[in-house]
Amino acid sequence: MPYTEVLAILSIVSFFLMLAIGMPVALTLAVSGLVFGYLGFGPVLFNLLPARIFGVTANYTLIAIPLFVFMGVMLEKSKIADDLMDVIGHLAGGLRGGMGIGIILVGVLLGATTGIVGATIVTLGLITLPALMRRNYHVPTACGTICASGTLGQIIPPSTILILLADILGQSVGTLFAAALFPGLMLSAIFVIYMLVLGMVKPELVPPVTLAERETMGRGELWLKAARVGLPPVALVLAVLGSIIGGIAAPTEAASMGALGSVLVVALSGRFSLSVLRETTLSTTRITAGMMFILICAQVFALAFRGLNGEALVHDMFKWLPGGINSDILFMMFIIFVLGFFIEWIEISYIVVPLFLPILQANNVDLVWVAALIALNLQTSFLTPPFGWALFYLRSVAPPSVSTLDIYKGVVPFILLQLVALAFLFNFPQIATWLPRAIGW
Amino acid sequence: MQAIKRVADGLDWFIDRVGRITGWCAFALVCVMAFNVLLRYFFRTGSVAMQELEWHLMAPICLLGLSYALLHDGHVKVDILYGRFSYRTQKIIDLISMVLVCFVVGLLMVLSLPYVEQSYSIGEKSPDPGGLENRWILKALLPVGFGLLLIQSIGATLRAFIAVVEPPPPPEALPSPSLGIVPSAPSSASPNAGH
Repeated sequence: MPYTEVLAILSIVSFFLMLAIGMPVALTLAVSGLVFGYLGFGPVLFNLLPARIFGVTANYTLIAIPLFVFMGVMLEKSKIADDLMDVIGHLAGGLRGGMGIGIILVGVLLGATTGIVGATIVTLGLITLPALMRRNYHVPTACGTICASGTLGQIIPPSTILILLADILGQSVGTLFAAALFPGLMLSAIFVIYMLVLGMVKPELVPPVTLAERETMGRGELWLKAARVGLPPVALVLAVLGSIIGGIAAPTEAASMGALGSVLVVALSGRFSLSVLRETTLSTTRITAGMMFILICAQVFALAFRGLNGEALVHDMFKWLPGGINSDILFMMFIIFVLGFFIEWIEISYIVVPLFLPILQANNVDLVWVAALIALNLQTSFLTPPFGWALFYLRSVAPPSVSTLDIYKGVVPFILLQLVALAFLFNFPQIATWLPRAIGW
Repeated sequence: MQAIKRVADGLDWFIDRVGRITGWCAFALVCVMAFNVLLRYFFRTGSVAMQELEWHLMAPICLLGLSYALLHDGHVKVDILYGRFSYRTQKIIDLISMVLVCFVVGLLMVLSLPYVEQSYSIGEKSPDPGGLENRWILKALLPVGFGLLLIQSIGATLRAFIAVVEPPPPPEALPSPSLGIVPSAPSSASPNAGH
């Protein structure tokens, strides 16, 4: 085996070793890249770095990220989550498993409007978990529902994963938004069906809300409130998504309108102030820059790994694989799933996906479909311990009586359901490709 | 030890200030972008300079915001073996990590200097007519951003050093059993952290 390929393998080994002993993820990426890149090429590699890093920060497609994040954080300030949960809780509460379904529906709406996993899970966890426990919900089921609903924001457009994948796979953001819409809704539907089935098979796990409690608010009043809290943000997002998918506006343009509109929505809800604006800008900066930090460090690793011929290594690995391109894709999905236990979606999309890209292109695989598969797959990375953001966020707000094991146990069924959704999408690519084709992308 | 802590506090204060100012770039980006869109759709006009300003605002958000993001959200770690180590071992790993971070960030800063210099010496500007000039200012955000990150990392290194030297806190003050992810540094999970 050539010297450089040995170094490429060593860089992966050192990455996982440093990661395991608890060094920061970004640091392990940068150090493995720098050290083994230097051993392979000397300083030549380093001279390429500034231009690469500058390229990341000056990437036009990625401008949509701070804009959508701004919109999400701002809408979140209108307390849309609290109000929506209140209304949907009342509407769905009568059903066995209804509260769970309510959480999933709120997850779908928040996924489309705010789309920020951390904020969604923290809010849902704070509002609903104590309420569910008071009603004797099965604690792991409650935790799993909240975590899984919170992650829906990653697949339901607009989402940052899709923007980054569009850039990596060379597709338009609008196409991927269109492609992810039905897989996202399908996944949500699968979650809802699971809740309904649970309500029938094991009703004691998911008890309904008592009638007396639900009657504190009249039907008419409830619908009025639903319209008042839900309509403005949902209308805003539909306008934004509609103009992107319909091809009226470029994603970044529509995102800026969405951001501006979110200020209006919050102002309408009477919760706008200068300090809200300041908090929103600061959160936006933190979230965007935090992502960029990982991207920059991932760039260091990716540059070294590719320079060390790591790509050929991956290519050879695929050549050993029996079966055609489908087994290649399955293998890729497997690797992404396993990596999701240890690293974040950003590193996976930025380092791993480009390595597979040549193989996919050589086989004329529909990249739009693959993007939807990857996005759906990456969503599990939020739920898989030890490194699952959703678990971490819920832990930070769950009452002390909820054990970490409760949360772990709770997400297992939802991870399996996500794999079911993935299997559906794998066998029926039309779920993803139909909409982009229908609107003529 | 008190003196070291004061220095670290001072560095953090500085980074926090810079971050708070940088934050407005995000709002400026929203305004500039929206302004351009409205101008184009309603008046069918627009300027190249204003359009370039869009991604000229993205760079400061990313680069100047780095230090601020890490100050508040900390570095992300994975707890595979870390949680099983003794308190002291954990703190030593933290210290070594932070020293390495300082080296990496310092290296990136030094590497980006000639890049800026080259842009300055050839008078690099936008290739489009009517575009923004002095591209080197934008590229100078690389060393400046990494410089700020170095300052933040030094602060975090000092804190990691204090944690190694000082006796461990009483057991009840230790955080509850972690869940695999350990946000280091001063932050706690904040509702707005996320992706």
